[in-house]
Amino acid sequence: MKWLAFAYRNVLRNKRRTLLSVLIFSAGTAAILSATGFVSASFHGLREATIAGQLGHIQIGAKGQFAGFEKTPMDNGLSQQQASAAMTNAAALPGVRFSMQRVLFEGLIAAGDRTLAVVGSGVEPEQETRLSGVFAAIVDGDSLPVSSEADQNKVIIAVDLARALGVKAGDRVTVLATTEKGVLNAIDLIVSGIYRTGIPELDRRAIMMPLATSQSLLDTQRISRVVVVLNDTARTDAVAQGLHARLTDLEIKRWIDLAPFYQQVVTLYSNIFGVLGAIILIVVLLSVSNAMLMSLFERIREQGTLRAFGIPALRIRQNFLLEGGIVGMIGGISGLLLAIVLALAINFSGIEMPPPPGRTTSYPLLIFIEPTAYGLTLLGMVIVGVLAAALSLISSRRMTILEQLNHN
Amino acid sequence: MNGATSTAISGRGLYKTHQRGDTRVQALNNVNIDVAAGDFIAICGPSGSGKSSLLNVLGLLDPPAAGEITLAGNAVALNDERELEKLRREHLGFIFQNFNLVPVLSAVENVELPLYPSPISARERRQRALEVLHAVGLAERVNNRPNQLSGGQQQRVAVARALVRKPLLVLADEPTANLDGTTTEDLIDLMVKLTDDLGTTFVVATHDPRVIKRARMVYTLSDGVLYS
Repeated sequence: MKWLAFAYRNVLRNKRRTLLSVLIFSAGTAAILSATGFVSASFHGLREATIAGQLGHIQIGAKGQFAGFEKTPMDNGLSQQQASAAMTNAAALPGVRFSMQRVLFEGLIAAGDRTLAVVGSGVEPEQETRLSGVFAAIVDGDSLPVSSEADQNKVIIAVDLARALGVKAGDRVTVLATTEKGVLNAIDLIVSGIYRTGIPELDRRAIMMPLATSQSLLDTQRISRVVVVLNDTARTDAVAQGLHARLTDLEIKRWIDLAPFYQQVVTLYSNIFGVLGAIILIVVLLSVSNAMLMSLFERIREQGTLRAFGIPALRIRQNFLLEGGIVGMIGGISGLLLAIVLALAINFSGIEMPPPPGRTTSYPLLIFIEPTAYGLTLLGMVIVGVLAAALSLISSRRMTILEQLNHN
Repeated sequence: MNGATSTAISGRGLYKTHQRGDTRVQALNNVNIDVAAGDFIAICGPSGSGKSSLLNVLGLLDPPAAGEITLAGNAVALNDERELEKLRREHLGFIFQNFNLVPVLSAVENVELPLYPSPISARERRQRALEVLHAVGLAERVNNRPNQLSGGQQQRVAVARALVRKPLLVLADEPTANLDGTTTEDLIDLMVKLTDDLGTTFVVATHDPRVIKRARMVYTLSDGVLYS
């Protein structure tokens, strides 16, 4: 305690220089935390958008369903019994919010004299809306009918596909697909609305229709997948393990298994911001070590005096390291506060970021305040402070007591 | 250890040379000295005569080129830095010409500094520092920082710091050089009083005639040779 108090007094010896060092630490801390907060918010946004927009947390399919190849449509689909068993078992697991069914198919859509290839989905609109409040962001017309009592002969068409077909809400289209028996089937549907997926490729090819309509088109009672939605994404692994144990004859895929791009994006951005953080730490280290070196030179005679009184040189050096740590801690704490203020200001300002690669919609600029990142950054700044002091000690010449006492 | 032996420190056959530019200066040339416990010794001589060199050697701050030093009856291992550190800590006190106080610490905190390595409580450390400050007449200024004290008061703090561990020997290098006349007299009175009352041993390197006049024994150094 006495040495800590002594170190603290020394930190306050030259207030202007200490303030400069604290500002450097503070700016570095705020920069790192703002960057990590932004990346963290981006990862979170991308993850939740991926889950809510398309995948759900977990998908359950028959063996081979996720390989992407079927000899005939619904060849790898789930029977009604399998789908019911999957949904019942999922509902029994803690953390599961609900589950729903989907039919996936490929086919053609025709309007007038134009015919284009489509990727179709048969969905349960009510459940899909529970998964994402912005399920099928409608830009014209209405979404799919939620009530099973309503007219089911409706389809919603992605915006670029609608433009290519030259259709609008209320128009009629014909959707063609091969049934599970291998026969070509066609149904006439009314365009309920035009929607935007946010992904350019899907905007050019996607259509959605009620689940029963898609089953009618494919002439099947099967479904492609059961989508399980959780209360908390963090429960994904636990629920997936539970489903693996209960549904041994089915394939269970977590959202991250179905979205390899997410992991690639996380790795890419983690590396970029890791390098950025390292550069910031090095700049802080070198800047502060210069200030620490000046502080060291100013007190050479004092160090000689302490050594003359028998205080070990090692103890004096340790105290200098302690001073570096204290400066790092003060700067780190002020940086944390600055980062919080910055994050709150940015989060409440409603700044919109341009659409990321592969997306067509902008997103709000958010900076997360994560206690773990804050704790680790503060610890990092204390370590950098100690290292800056150590760098000063290393770069200064070892002196005898007499040289120190006679130093001007 | 105080009073356990009649000789506080002795040096035999001490040699020391310094390199000044191209010239080698013989700072100490076969110096032999015995300092009795409770003595007040002045070492005088002109500038460059080797006074500070002798004090540094006796204070175990600078090893001699040759010779032996006995402290409290025991031969000192002059090449063992840890041992020297321990001996300085336990047996020696220093008073410097420029006081060398730590500016960020108060008077009492400065006096406490030599006690930092000791395994004693903060309360005891503070108590001992206050006692010594009281003994040197600074009971009213214990919480003042050095820049709030006069030169004489700062040197009294330095004396208190040198005494706080109750050392066998206090070495003072030109302690009055930066003090005015009255303050010098006060400091000399204090050192004499401490010698008389507490049995503190002082070895003072000085060319101040007022110190020399009050010393019980005076040595003169000339070209590195010591004369009594």
